[in-house]
Amino acid sequence: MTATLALALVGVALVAYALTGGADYGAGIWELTARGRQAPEMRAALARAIAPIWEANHVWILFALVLLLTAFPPVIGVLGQAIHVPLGLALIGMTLRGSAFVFRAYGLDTQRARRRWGLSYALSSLITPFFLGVSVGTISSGAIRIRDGEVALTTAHPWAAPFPLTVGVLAIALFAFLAAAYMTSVAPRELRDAFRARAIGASLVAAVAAAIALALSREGAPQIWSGLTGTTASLALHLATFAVALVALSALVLRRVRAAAVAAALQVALVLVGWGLSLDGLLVPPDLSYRDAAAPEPVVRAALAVAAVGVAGLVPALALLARITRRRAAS
Amino acid sequence: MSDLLAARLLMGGTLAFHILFAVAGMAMPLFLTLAEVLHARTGDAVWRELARRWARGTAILFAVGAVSGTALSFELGLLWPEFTEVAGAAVGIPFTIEGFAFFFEAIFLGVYLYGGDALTPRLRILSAAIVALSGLASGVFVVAVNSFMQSPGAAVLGGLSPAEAAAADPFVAFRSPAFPTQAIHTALSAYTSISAAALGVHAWALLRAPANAFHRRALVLALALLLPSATLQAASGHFSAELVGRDQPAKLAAMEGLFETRARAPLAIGGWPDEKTGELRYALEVPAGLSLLLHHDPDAEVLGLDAFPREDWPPVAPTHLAFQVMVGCGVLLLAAASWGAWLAWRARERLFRPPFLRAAIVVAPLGLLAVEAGWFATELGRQPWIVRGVLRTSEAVTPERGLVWPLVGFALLYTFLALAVTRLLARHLFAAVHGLEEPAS
Repeated sequence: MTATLALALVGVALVAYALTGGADYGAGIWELTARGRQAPEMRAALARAIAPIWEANHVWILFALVLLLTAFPPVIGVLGQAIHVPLGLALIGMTLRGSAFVFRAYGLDTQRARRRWGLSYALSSLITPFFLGVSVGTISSGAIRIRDGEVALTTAHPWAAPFPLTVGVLAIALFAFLAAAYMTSVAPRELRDAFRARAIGASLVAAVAAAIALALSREGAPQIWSGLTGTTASLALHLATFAVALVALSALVLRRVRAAAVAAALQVALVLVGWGLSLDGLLVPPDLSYRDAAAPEPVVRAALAVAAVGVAGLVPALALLARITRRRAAS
Repeated sequence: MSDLLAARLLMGGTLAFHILFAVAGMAMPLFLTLAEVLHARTGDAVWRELARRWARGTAILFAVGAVSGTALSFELGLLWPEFTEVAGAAVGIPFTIEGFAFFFEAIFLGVYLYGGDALTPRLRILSAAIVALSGLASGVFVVAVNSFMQSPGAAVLGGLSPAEAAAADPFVAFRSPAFPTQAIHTALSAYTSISAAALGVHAWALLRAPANAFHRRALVLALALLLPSATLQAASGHFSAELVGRDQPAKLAAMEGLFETRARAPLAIGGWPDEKTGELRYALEVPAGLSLLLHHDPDAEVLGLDAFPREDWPPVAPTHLAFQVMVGCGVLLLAAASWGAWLAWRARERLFRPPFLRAAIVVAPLGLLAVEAGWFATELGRQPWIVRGVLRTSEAVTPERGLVWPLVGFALLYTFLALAVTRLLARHLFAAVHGLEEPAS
């Protein structure tokens, strides 16, 4: 029971990361693609929006990692060995991105130098979610086997397969969509239409990528395929996700910006929840279930207690920060 | 290069990079809080200006520290999977608490830096204070992880696995005998090193503009923090050494360069340990000094390296050297701080004249150097164990090959970052020193 709660908490942390940190990456991606007359204002609006919160946003992935370490220790070791290439590349991306953001913001540099940091920042905002998506796709693909307690891979580079690579693209599209949807509701009025168009575009790319990923999962990630299509519950979840996606799209088209932002967030959350549930408790399909990997019960209970206290304190703090962020973005 | 060495260099290098930013993240918010409080109390605009300038530096240092800290968390799993499997349950709880402390720090730093007019002076002070406290908490909790590695405690040394020990007591890491002294010593090192650096920066500014009220006040504030920190640090260092002598005697022997178990063990100052011949060359020795310091009895026996199997020896020369550098820096800092305190008490104006200012500039980097040297001493002294008595570093490393490639990649990345950060900070310091006018009184 406690192990199940801990697993759910990891899931919540990952969803929170996608909805906050993911949007950060999306904002960086849009800086890369800002074109036309409004490009400098768009870049400025994006930078203003995320400046107060980007560090706080990225703590969620640390939180998920630490919770996995505490409650399901063997998983970290398995993943460390099996997906060290995409994860290592994602890590380089994260390091470059954080630093580039700071250097651009505080650099006292010339316009040109700031643009160069901006380029680093935007590129790393593109490659990090890609490799995070690839990592997630690799884990889900079932290519990581565990025999006699040792990690055994079915191919030399399980991450360089169609399914994981498509998941990488899907991650980029979803995060870009999320960021653009948020920006339609917090950016200065004259920029909102530009973000609206981008949100619609990204939403369509995400839909195509998701469809391709699902099709590829039949061969490339059998657990995901059976999890997503096998039961009535999963089909219901699919329908719900599809419905919310339609709501988001219509809200964007109709310029209902608050509804669009909320629906976009809900849509991304549902995609992640669908993926999580399709794993059916297998942290590393098909050989490592969360029950096998769970740390002793007292440890998991202590971790949950700490998390409960921590989250109770975090909620008002995050609310305060969110208020300040919104005011800044709109000014 | 062996994969084990590459893994150790990569992890050690990232840690050596990260620790500088981590101590800044712990200590700078305290400076900010004090400046904000002084501004609220005296109404003097200089304190507000000081807080503003320091805030910018804090934001930069904090961000780079956050990024390198994230890298460390990933590297822990990527490089040391056996360690995470064996010790994960035991070190997970302190890591989890630290994660929350860091979360609070990041949030309230955002509130403080970007709150603007939404923040009353009270709220500004409160935000800064929360950042300072969370930073301290974060440092203390992450040290618990290291303490468990240095000294896993009686249960584990008695035969329980770390997971079993954690099952019996999830907070087992905090019960490590090494935790209290390590936590205090690390916390103090943040305040000592950063106040020494701040002292040096403002001293440098004063050499160019001796009458500048802004830098004068900043210098006094830095000194006011440095003196108690450095003094307490010396005491904490003594108690830490006592603890290490009892709890991790092989490390103590390596730090001191003591090859031979003996009564009336001398305190060695400097010197080069020759592992082949088993002697410490060129050292200045205080007879019976070590026995006195550790056991308060000149005739007490102190264990030398000969009491331990050769394969359990830490690398003696690097450990000894690092330890000596740390102590030497600490002594110099304490001397400079004491001189400053005496001047502040008896001859205020001489605090702002070249002799003391030059001394302040010379000792400015020594605190940070001591932090690095201290961590090298304790981590090298812990070898060959990753969890002492339980798991060797060589057993904990990933079986992946070709680790020299990520090592090269990250070394390049961190070198680039270090250069960029140095340039950035130098620019800010330059602007702060030269662009500053006396605020109208």
